[in-house]
Amino acid sequence: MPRRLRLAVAPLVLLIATLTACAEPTRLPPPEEPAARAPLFASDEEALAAATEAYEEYLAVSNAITSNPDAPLAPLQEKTSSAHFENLEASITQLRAQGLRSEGSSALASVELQQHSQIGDEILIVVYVCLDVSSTRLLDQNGNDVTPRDRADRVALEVALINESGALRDLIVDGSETWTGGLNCS
Amino acid sequence: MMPMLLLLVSLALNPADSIGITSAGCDEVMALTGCPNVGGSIEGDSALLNGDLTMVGAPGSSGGGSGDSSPGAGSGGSPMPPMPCEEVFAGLCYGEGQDKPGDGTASPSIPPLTLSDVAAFRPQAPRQSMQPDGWMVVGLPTNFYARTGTHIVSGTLLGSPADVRFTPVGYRWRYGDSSAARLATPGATWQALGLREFDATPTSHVYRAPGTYVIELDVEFTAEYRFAGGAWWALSGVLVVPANDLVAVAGSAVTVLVDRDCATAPHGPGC
Repeated sequence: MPRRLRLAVAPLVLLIATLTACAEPTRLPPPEEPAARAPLFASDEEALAAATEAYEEYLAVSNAITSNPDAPLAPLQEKTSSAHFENLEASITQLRAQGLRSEGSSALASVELQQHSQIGDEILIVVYVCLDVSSTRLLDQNGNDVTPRDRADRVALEVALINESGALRDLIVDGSETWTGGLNCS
Repeated sequence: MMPMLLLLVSLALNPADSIGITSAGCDEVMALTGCPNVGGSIEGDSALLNGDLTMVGAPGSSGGGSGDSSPGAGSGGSPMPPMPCEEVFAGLCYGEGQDKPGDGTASPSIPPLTLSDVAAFRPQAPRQSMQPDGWMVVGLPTNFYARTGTHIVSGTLLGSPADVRFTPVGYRWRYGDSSAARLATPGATWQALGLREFDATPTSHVYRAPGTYVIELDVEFTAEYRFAGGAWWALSGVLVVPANDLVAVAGSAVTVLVDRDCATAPHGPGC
Protein backbone atom coordinates (compact mmCIF):
# COMPACT_ATOMS: atom_id res chain seq x y z
CA MET A 1 0.00 0.00 0.00
CA PRO A 2 2.69 2.57 0.93
CA ARG A 3 4.52 1.69 -2.25
CA ARG A 4 1.34 2.21 -4.28
CA LEU A 5 0.75 5.50 -2.51
CA ARG A 6 4.24 6.68 -3.37
CA LEU A 7 3.64 5.73 -6.96
CA ALA A 8 0.41 7.68 -7.01
CA VAL A 9 1.85 10.70 -5.27
CA ALA A 10 4.95 11.02 -7.39
CA PRO A 11 3.15 12.17 -10.59
CA LEU A 12 0.98 14.46 -8.50
CA VAL A 13 4.03 16.18 -7.07
CA LEU A 14 5.46 16.45 -10.55
CA LEU A 15 2.19 17.94 -11.81
CA ILE A 16 2.05 20.52 -9.04
CA ALA A 17 5.68 21.42 -9.66
CA THR A 18 4.95 21.82 -13.37
CA LEU A 19 1.88 23.93 -12.73
CA THR A 20 3.76 26.11 -10.33
CA ALA A 21 6.50 26.57 -12.87
CA CYS A 22 3.96 27.46 -15.57
CA ALA A 23 2.13 29.83 -13.30
CA GLU A 24 5.26 31.72 -12.40
CA PRO A 25 5.39 34.23 -15.31
CA THR A 26 1.66 34.95 -15.30
CA ARG A 27 1.02 35.29 -11.60
CA LEU A 28 -1.51 37.89 -10.59
CA PRO A 29 -0.22 41.34 -9.81
CA PRO A 30 0.26 42.07 -6.13
CA PRO A 31 -2.60 43.98 -4.52
CA GLU A 32 -0.64 47.20 -4.37
CA GLU A 33 -0.26 47.31 -8.18
CA PRO A 34 -3.50 49.28 -8.86
CA ALA A 35 -2.38 52.04 -6.56
CA ALA A 36 0.73 52.46 -8.72
CA ARG A 37 -1.54 52.86 -11.77
CA ALA A 38 -3.45 55.76 -10.32
CA PRO A 39 -4.65 58.25 -12.93
CA LEU A 40 -1.74 60.20 -14.27
CA PHE A 41 -3.72 63.39 -14.22
CA ALA A 42 -5.53 63.98 -10.98
CA SER A 43 -7.62 66.79 -12.42
CA ASP A 44 -8.79 68.37 -15.65
CA GLU A 45 -6.40 71.22 -14.98
CA GLU A 46 -3.40 68.90 -14.86
CA ALA A 47 -4.41 67.20 -18.10
CA LEU A 48 -4.93 70.55 -19.81
CA ALA A 49 -1.57 71.82 -18.59
CA ALA A 50 0.22 68.73 -19.92
CA ALA A 51 -1.58 68.97 -23.26
CA THR A 52 -0.82 72.68 -23.56
CA GLU A 53 2.85 72.15 -22.87
CA ALA A 54 3.09 69.33 -25.42
CA TYR A 55 1.19 71.31 -28.04
CA GLU A 56 3.36 74.39 -27.61
CA GLU A 57 6.48 72.28 -28.13
CA TYR A 58 4.92 70.78 -31.24
CA LEU A 59 3.93 74.21 -32.52
CA ALA A 60 7.46 75.54 -32.00
CA VAL A 61 8.84 72.69 -34.10
CA SER A 62 6.18 73.28 -36.76
CA ASN A 63 7.07 77.00 -36.88
CA ALA A 64 10.74 76.20 -37.26
CA ILE A 65 10.05 73.83 -40.15
CA THR A 66 7.69 76.06 -42.11
CA SER A 67 10.06 79.02 -41.80
CA ASN A 68 13.02 77.14 -43.22
CA PRO A 69 12.51 75.21 -46.47
CA ASP A 70 15.61 73.14 -45.73
CA ALA A 71 14.74 72.19 -42.17
CA PRO A 72 14.54 68.43 -41.63
CA LEU A 73 11.21 66.98 -40.59
CA ALA A 74 12.57 64.53 -38.03
CA PRO A 75 11.95 66.84 -35.04
CA LEU A 76 8.28 67.03 -36.05
CA GLN A 77 8.13 63.27 -36.37
CA GLU A 78 9.18 63.00 -32.73
CA LYS A 79 6.25 65.15 -31.67
CA THR A 80 3.54 63.41 -33.67
CA SER A 81 1.97 60.01 -34.22
CA SER A 82 2.83 58.37 -37.52
CA ALA A 83 -0.66 58.97 -38.94
CA HIS A 84 -0.63 62.66 -38.13
CA PHE A 85 2.93 63.04 -39.31
CA GLU A 86 1.91 61.72 -42.74
CA ASN A 87 -0.73 64.43 -43.04
CA LEU A 88 1.66 67.14 -41.89
CA GLU A 89 4.38 65.91 -44.21
CA ALA A 90 1.97 66.24 -47.14
CA SER A 91 1.07 69.79 -46.09
CA ILE A 92 4.71 70.77 -45.71
CA THR A 93 5.67 69.20 -49.02
CA GLN A 94 2.92 71.15 -50.73
CA LEU A 95 4.00 74.39 -49.07
CA ARG A 96 7.61 73.84 -50.09
CA ALA A 97 6.66 72.78 -53.62
CA GLN A 98 5.11 76.22 -54.03
CA GLY A 99 8.36 77.80 -52.91
CA LEU A 100 6.73 79.18 -49.78
CA ARG A 101 7.98 79.68 -46.27
CA SER A 102 6.63 81.39 -43.22
CA GLU A 103 8.01 84.34 -41.32
CA GLY A 104 6.98 84.90 -37.73
CA SER A 105 5.34 82.34 -35.53
CA SER A 106 1.91 80.83 -35.14
CA ALA A 107 0.85 81.15 -31.52
CA LEU A 108 -1.52 79.46 -29.17
CA ALA A 109 -4.21 82.07 -28.43
CA SER A 110 -6.25 79.86 -26.12
CA VAL A 111 -6.85 76.23 -25.33
CA GLU A 112 -9.81 74.39 -23.80
CA LEU A 113 -10.05 70.83 -22.60
CA GLN A 114 -12.60 68.68 -24.35
CA GLN A 115 -11.85 65.34 -22.70
CA HIS A 116 -9.12 63.24 -21.19
CA SER A 117 -9.01 59.58 -20.42
CA GLN A 118 -6.60 56.90 -19.36
CA ILE A 119 -7.13 53.24 -20.03
CA GLY A 120 -4.26 51.23 -18.66
CA ASP A 121 -1.18 52.99 -19.94
CA GLU A 122 -2.98 54.66 -22.84
CA ILE A 123 -3.66 58.34 -22.43
CA LEU A 124 -5.88 60.44 -24.64
CA ILE A 125 -6.40 64.15 -24.26
CA VAL A 126 -8.51 66.15 -26.70
CA VAL A 127 -8.32 69.92 -26.59
CA TYR A 128 -9.77 72.77 -28.58
CA VAL A 129 -7.00 75.04 -29.72
CA CYS A 130 -7.36 78.58 -30.96
CA LEU A 131 -4.38 79.07 -33.22
CA ASP A 132 -3.32 82.63 -34.03
CA VAL A 133 -1.47 82.99 -37.33
CA SER A 134 -1.84 86.77 -37.57
CA SER A 135 1.83 87.45 -36.88
CA THR A 136 3.00 85.13 -39.64
CA ARG A 137 3.62 86.16 -43.21
CA LEU A 138 4.00 83.90 -46.19
CA LEU A 139 7.01 84.59 -48.35
CA ASP A 140 7.77 83.25 -51.80
CA GLN A 141 11.16 82.27 -53.12
CA ASN A 142 12.02 85.92 -53.88
CA GLY A 143 11.03 87.07 -50.43
CA ASN A 144 7.78 88.66 -51.62
CA ASP A 145 4.96 88.71 -49.12
CA VAL A 146 2.27 86.51 -50.66
CA THR A 147 0.09 86.13 -47.58
CA PRO A 148 -3.51 85.73 -48.74
CA ARG A 149 -5.36 88.91 -47.87
CA ASP A 150 -8.46 87.10 -46.69
CA ARG A 151 -6.64 84.46 -44.69
CA ALA A 152 -8.24 83.89 -41.29
CA ASP A 153 -6.12 85.30 -38.50
CA ARG A 154 -7.31 82.64 -36.12
CA VAL A 155 -8.21 79.02 -36.69
CA ALA A 156 -10.06 76.79 -34.23
CA LEU A 157 -8.65 73.30 -34.16
CA GLU A 158 -9.60 70.15 -32.36
CA VAL A 159 -6.35 68.50 -31.35
CA ALA A 160 -5.91 64.97 -30.01
CA LEU A 161 -2.84 64.10 -27.99
CA ILE A 162 -1.77 60.62 -26.94
CA ASN A 163 1.22 59.23 -25.14
CA GLU A 164 3.96 57.35 -26.85
CA SER A 165 3.92 53.69 -26.00
CA GLY A 166 6.03 53.03 -22.97
CA ALA A 167 6.43 56.70 -22.17
CA LEU A 168 3.63 57.67 -19.90
CA ARG A 169 4.36 61.36 -19.74
CA ASP A 170 5.52 62.11 -23.29
CA LEU A 171 2.45 63.37 -25.14
CA ILE A 172 2.48 63.55 -28.92
CA VAL A 173 -0.05 65.05 -31.31
CA ASP A 174 -2.26 62.44 -32.91
CA GLY A 175 -4.40 64.69 -35.06
CA SER A 176 -5.68 68.20 -35.61
CA GLU A 177 -8.85 69.18 -37.42
CA THR A 178 -10.72 72.36 -38.00
CA TRP A 179 -13.33 72.82 -35.32
CA THR A 180 -16.36 74.97 -35.88
CA GLY A 181 -18.26 73.82 -32.85
CA GLY A 182 -18.53 77.11 -31.05
CA LEU A 183 -15.08 77.69 -29.62
CA ASN A 184 -14.48 81.37 -28.96
CA CYS A 185 -11.71 81.94 -31.48
CA SER A 186 -12.04 85.02 -33.62
CA MET B 1 -10.11 40.48 -20.39
CA MET B 2 -7.11 41.68 -22.33
CA PRO B 3 -8.78 41.71 -25.79
CA MET B 4 -11.66 43.73 -24.37
CA LEU B 5 -9.24 46.21 -22.87
CA LEU B 6 -7.44 46.60 -26.19
CA LEU B 7 -10.74 47.21 -27.95
CA LEU B 8 -11.66 49.94 -25.53
CA VAL B 9 -8.32 51.60 -26.07
CA SER B 10 -8.72 51.44 -29.79
CA LEU B 11 -12.13 53.06 -29.64
CA ALA B 12 -10.94 55.73 -27.31
CA LEU B 13 -8.20 56.75 -29.71
CA ASN B 14 -10.68 57.73 -32.40
CA PRO B 15 -12.66 60.44 -30.68
CA ALA B 16 -13.29 62.48 -33.78
CA ASP B 17 -15.47 59.76 -35.25
CA SER B 18 -18.30 60.68 -32.99
CA ILE B 19 -17.87 64.33 -32.09
CA GLY B 20 -17.94 67.63 -33.83
CA ILE B 21 -20.30 69.69 -35.87
CA THR B 22 -18.59 70.26 -39.15
CA SER B 23 -15.07 70.26 -40.37
CA ALA B 24 -12.59 70.81 -43.08
CA GLY B 25 -9.24 69.15 -43.11
CA CYS B 26 -6.70 71.61 -41.83
CA ASP B 27 -3.60 71.62 -39.72
CA GLU B 28 -1.07 74.10 -38.38
CA VAL B 29 0.79 74.21 -41.70
CA MET B 30 -2.27 74.66 -43.88
CA ALA B 31 -3.46 77.45 -41.57
CA LEU B 32 -0.56 79.55 -42.87
CA THR B 33 -1.99 79.61 -46.37
CA GLY B 34 -5.58 79.57 -45.18
CA CYS B 35 -7.65 76.55 -44.24
CA PRO B 36 -9.86 75.12 -46.94
CA ASN B 37 -13.53 75.57 -46.24
CA VAL B 38 -15.08 72.21 -46.94
CA GLY B 39 -18.67 71.19 -46.46
CA GLY B 40 -21.15 68.80 -47.93
CA SER B 41 -24.78 68.09 -48.54
CA ILE B 42 -26.99 65.35 -49.84
CA GLU B 43 -28.75 66.06 -53.11
CA GLY B 44 -31.01 63.26 -54.36
CA ASP B 45 -28.88 60.18 -54.92
CA SER B 46 -25.51 61.94 -54.51
CA ALA B 47 -23.39 63.31 -51.72
CA LEU B 48 -21.94 66.63 -52.83
CA LEU B 49 -18.78 67.93 -51.25
CA ASN B 50 -17.77 71.49 -51.88
CA GLY B 51 -14.70 73.39 -50.89
CA ASP B 52 -13.13 76.80 -51.19
CA LEU B 53 -9.47 77.44 -50.78
CA THR B 54 -7.64 80.72 -51.10
CA MET B 55 -4.49 79.95 -52.99
CA VAL B 56 -1.23 81.76 -52.85
CA GLY B 57 -0.17 82.82 -56.31
CA ALA B 58 3.44 82.72 -57.39
CA PRO B 59 3.52 84.13 -60.88
CA GLY B 60 6.25 82.86 -63.09
CA SER B 61 7.49 80.39 -60.52
CA SER B 62 7.61 76.74 -61.28
CA GLY B 63 6.11 75.97 -57.94
CA GLY B 64 2.69 77.12 -59.02
CA GLY B 65 1.52 74.02 -60.76
CA SER B 66 2.11 70.46 -59.75
CA GLY B 67 2.22 69.34 -63.36
CA ASP B 68 -1.13 67.63 -63.41
CA SER B 69 -3.46 70.59 -63.34
CA SER B 70 -6.51 70.00 -65.44
CA PRO B 71 -6.72 71.72 -68.80
CA GLY B 72 -8.29 75.11 -68.66
CA ALA B 73 -7.45 75.70 -65.02
CA GLY B 74 -5.24 78.56 -66.06
CA SER B 75 -4.84 80.65 -69.15
CA GLY B 76 -2.14 82.80 -70.65
CA GLY B 77 0.19 84.23 -68.10
CA SER B 78 -2.19 84.07 -65.18
CA PRO B 79 -1.17 82.10 -62.13
CA MET B 80 -1.96 78.44 -62.18
CA PRO B 81 -3.75 77.04 -59.19
CA PRO B 82 -1.23 74.97 -57.32
CA MET B 83 -3.63 72.07 -56.99
CA PRO B 84 -5.52 70.37 -59.80
CA CYS B 85 -9.19 71.01 -60.16
CA GLU B 86 -10.67 67.59 -60.64
CA GLU B 87 -13.88 65.72 -59.86
CA VAL B 88 -15.64 67.83 -62.15
CA PHE B 89 -18.94 69.34 -62.47
CA ALA B 90 -18.54 71.46 -65.53
CA GLY B 91 -18.90 75.07 -64.65
CA LEU B 92 -18.57 74.47 -60.95
CA CYS B 93 -14.91 73.61 -60.88
CA TYR B 94 -12.90 76.70 -61.46
CA GLY B 95 -10.23 78.96 -60.18
CA GLU B 96 -11.17 82.54 -59.91
CA GLY B 97 -8.93 85.51 -59.38
CA GLN B 98 -10.32 87.96 -56.91
CA ASP B 99 -9.64 91.64 -57.04
CA LYS B 100 -10.16 92.94 -53.60
CA PRO B 101 -9.20 96.42 -52.47
CA GLY B 102 -5.60 96.24 -51.44
CA ASP B 103 -4.75 96.81 -47.83
CA GLY B 104 -1.10 97.35 -48.52
CA THR B 105 0.04 94.23 -46.75
CA ALA B 106 0.41 92.06 -49.81
CA SER B 107 2.13 92.60 -53.07
CA PRO B 108 -0.39 94.13 -55.48
CA SER B 109 0.95 92.06 -58.34
CA ILE B 110 -0.12 88.83 -56.70
CA PRO B 111 -3.86 88.66 -56.25
CA PRO B 112 -5.15 85.85 -54.07
CA LEU B 113 -6.72 83.07 -56.03
CA THR B 114 -9.80 81.38 -54.68
CA LEU B 115 -10.22 77.85 -55.88
CA SER B 116 -13.67 76.36 -55.64
CA ASP B 117 -14.38 72.74 -56.22
CA VAL B 118 -17.38 70.47 -56.08
CA ALA B 119 -17.25 66.71 -56.11
CA ALA B 120 -20.21 64.38 -56.41
CA PHE B 121 -20.09 60.95 -54.82
CA ARG B 122 -22.67 58.32 -55.61
CA PRO B 123 -23.10 55.07 -53.73
CA GLN B 124 -22.88 51.80 -55.58
CA ALA B 125 -26.33 50.82 -56.81
CA PRO B 126 -28.02 48.25 -54.57
CA ARG B 127 -29.46 45.07 -56.08
CA GLN B 128 -32.55 43.18 -55.07
CA SER B 129 -33.51 39.56 -55.61
CA MET B 130 -36.47 37.36 -54.77
CA GLN B 131 -37.30 33.80 -53.88
CA PRO B 132 -38.74 32.07 -55.80
CA ASP B 133 -36.94 33.78 -58.66
CA GLY B 134 -39.46 35.49 -60.92
CA TRP B 135 -42.65 33.98 -59.61
CA MET B 136 -44.71 33.72 -56.48
CA VAL B 137 -47.55 31.69 -55.08
CA VAL B 138 -50.69 33.56 -54.13
CA GLY B 139 -51.22 33.31 -50.40
CA LEU B 140 -47.65 32.20 -49.61
CA PRO B 141 -44.74 34.43 -48.56
CA THR B 142 -42.37 35.58 -51.30
CA ASN B 143 -38.93 36.39 -49.94
CA PHE B 144 -37.37 39.65 -51.17
CA TYR B 145 -33.85 40.65 -50.18
CA ALA B 146 -31.38 43.41 -51.02
CA ARG B 147 -27.66 43.17 -51.59
CA THR B 148 -25.77 46.23 -50.48
CA GLY B 149 -23.60 47.30 -47.59
CA THR B 150 -21.46 50.02 -46.10
CA HIS B 151 -18.87 51.16 -48.59
CA ILE B 152 -16.48 54.02 -49.25
CA VAL B 153 -16.34 55.98 -52.51
CA SER B 154 -13.12 57.92 -53.01
CA GLY B 155 -12.32 60.97 -55.08
CA THR B 156 -10.52 64.28 -54.81
CA LEU B 157 -11.56 67.75 -53.75
CA LEU B 158 -9.30 70.76 -54.13
CA GLY B 159 -6.57 68.34 -55.16
CA SER B 160 -6.69 66.44 -51.86
CA PRO B 161 -8.22 63.04 -51.26
CA ALA B 162 -11.85 63.04 -50.22
CA ASP B 163 -13.93 60.02 -49.28
CA VAL B 164 -17.59 59.46 -48.68
CA ARG B 165 -18.77 56.49 -46.65
CA PHE B 166 -22.28 55.28 -47.42
CA THR B 167 -24.23 53.16 -44.96
CA PRO B 168 -27.58 51.59 -45.91
CA VAL B 169 -30.14 52.28 -43.22
CA GLY B 170 -33.55 51.72 -44.78
CA TYR B 171 -35.19 49.63 -47.48
CA ARG B 172 -38.37 50.89 -49.12
CA TRP B 173 -40.11 48.16 -51.04
CA ARG B 174 -43.06 48.79 -53.33
CA TYR B 175 -44.55 45.42 -54.15
CA GLY B 176 -46.58 46.42 -57.19
CA ASP B 177 -49.86 45.43 -55.58
CA SER B 178 -50.43 48.88 -54.06
CA SER B 179 -48.68 47.88 -50.88
CA ALA B 180 -45.30 49.03 -49.65
CA ALA B 181 -43.02 48.62 -46.68
CA ARG B 182 -40.11 50.51 -45.20
CA LEU B 183 -37.84 48.03 -43.48
CA ALA B 184 -34.62 48.39 -41.54
CA THR B 185 -33.17 45.10 -42.73
CA PRO B 186 -32.03 44.06 -46.21
CA GLY B 187 -33.26 40.53 -45.65
CA ALA B 188 -31.51 37.37 -46.78
CA THR B 189 -32.18 34.14 -48.58
CA TRP B 190 -34.23 31.43 -46.96
CA GLN B 191 -31.10 29.32 -46.86
CA ALA B 192 -29.07 31.99 -45.11
CA LEU B 193 -31.85 32.49 -42.58
CA GLY B 194 -32.06 28.76 -41.95
CA LEU B 195 -35.69 28.65 -43.03
CA ARG B 196 -37.68 26.43 -45.34
CA GLU B 197 -38.93 27.66 -48.69
CA PHE B 198 -42.11 29.74 -48.48
CA ASP B 199 -41.52 30.51 -44.82
CA ALA B 200 -42.21 34.09 -43.79
CA THR B 201 -39.12 36.28 -43.38
CA PRO B 202 -38.65 39.83 -42.07
CA THR B 203 -38.68 40.98 -45.70
CA SER B 204 -41.24 38.63 -47.24
CA HIS B 205 -44.53 39.68 -48.78
CA VAL B 206 -47.73 37.77 -49.50
CA TYR B 207 -49.61 38.46 -52.73
CA ARG B 208 -53.36 38.04 -52.62
CA ALA B 209 -54.23 37.93 -56.32
CA PRO B 210 -52.71 36.39 -59.43
CA GLY B 211 -51.06 38.73 -61.90
CA THR B 212 -47.80 40.26 -63.05
CA TYR B 213 -46.15 42.57 -60.58
CA VAL B 214 -43.23 45.00 -60.76
CA ILE B 215 -41.34 45.17 -57.49
CA GLU B 216 -39.33 48.33 -56.83
CA LEU B 217 -36.79 48.94 -54.09
CA ASP B 218 -35.23 52.19 -52.93
CA VAL B 219 -32.39 51.96 -50.44
CA GLU B 220 -31.75 54.81 -48.03
CA PHE B 221 -28.13 55.58 -47.26
CA THR B 222 -26.60 57.86 -44.68
CA ALA B 223 -23.33 59.47 -45.72
CA GLU B 224 -20.20 60.65 -43.95
CA TYR B 225 -17.22 62.35 -45.51
CA ARG B 226 -13.62 62.98 -44.73
CA PHE B 227 -11.22 65.36 -46.37
CA ALA B 228 -7.47 65.02 -46.67
CA GLY B 229 -7.37 61.97 -44.45
CA GLY B 230 -9.10 63.71 -41.55
CA ALA B 231 -11.89 62.52 -39.34
CA TRP B 232 -15.29 61.37 -40.58
CA TRP B 233 -18.13 63.88 -40.49
CA ALA B 234 -21.76 63.07 -41.02
CA LEU B 235 -23.87 64.73 -43.68
CA SER B 236 -27.43 65.43 -42.64
CA GLY B 237 -30.22 63.65 -44.43
CA VAL B 238 -30.36 60.40 -46.38
CA LEU B 239 -29.75 59.49 -50.00
CA VAL B 240 -32.40 57.46 -51.73
CA VAL B 241 -30.96 55.14 -54.34
CA PRO B 242 -33.13 52.91 -56.53
CA ALA B 243 -32.26 49.26 -56.99
CA ASN B 244 -33.12 47.14 -60.02
CA ASP B 245 -36.80 46.43 -60.63
CA LEU B 246 -38.08 42.88 -60.45
CA VAL B 247 -40.93 41.60 -62.62
CA ALA B 248 -42.66 38.49 -61.37
CA VAL B 249 -45.81 36.50 -61.96
CA ALA B 250 -48.09 35.40 -59.15
CA GLY B 251 -50.19 32.33 -59.69
CA SER B 252 -52.48 30.31 -57.53
CA ALA B 253 -50.96 27.18 -56.11
CA VAL B 254 -52.73 24.82 -58.47
CA THR B 255 -51.32 26.44 -61.58
CA VAL B 256 -47.74 26.81 -60.43
CA LEU B 257 -45.09 24.78 -62.13
CA VAL B 258 -43.05 22.88 -59.61
CA ASP B 259 -39.47 21.87 -59.74
CA ARG B 260 -40.07 18.24 -58.88
CA ASP B 261 -42.95 15.78 -58.63
CA CYS B 262 -44.86 16.65 -55.48
CA ALA B 263 -45.76 13.02 -54.95
CA THR B 264 -42.13 11.97 -54.72
CA ALA B 265 -40.79 15.25 -53.29
CA PRO B 266 -43.62 16.63 -51.16
CA HIS B 267 -41.36 19.32 -49.69
CA GLY B 268 -40.33 20.73 -53.05
CA PRO B 269 -41.16 24.36 -53.96
CA GLY B 270 -44.86 24.85 -54.41
CA CYS B 271 -45.90 21.41 -53.18
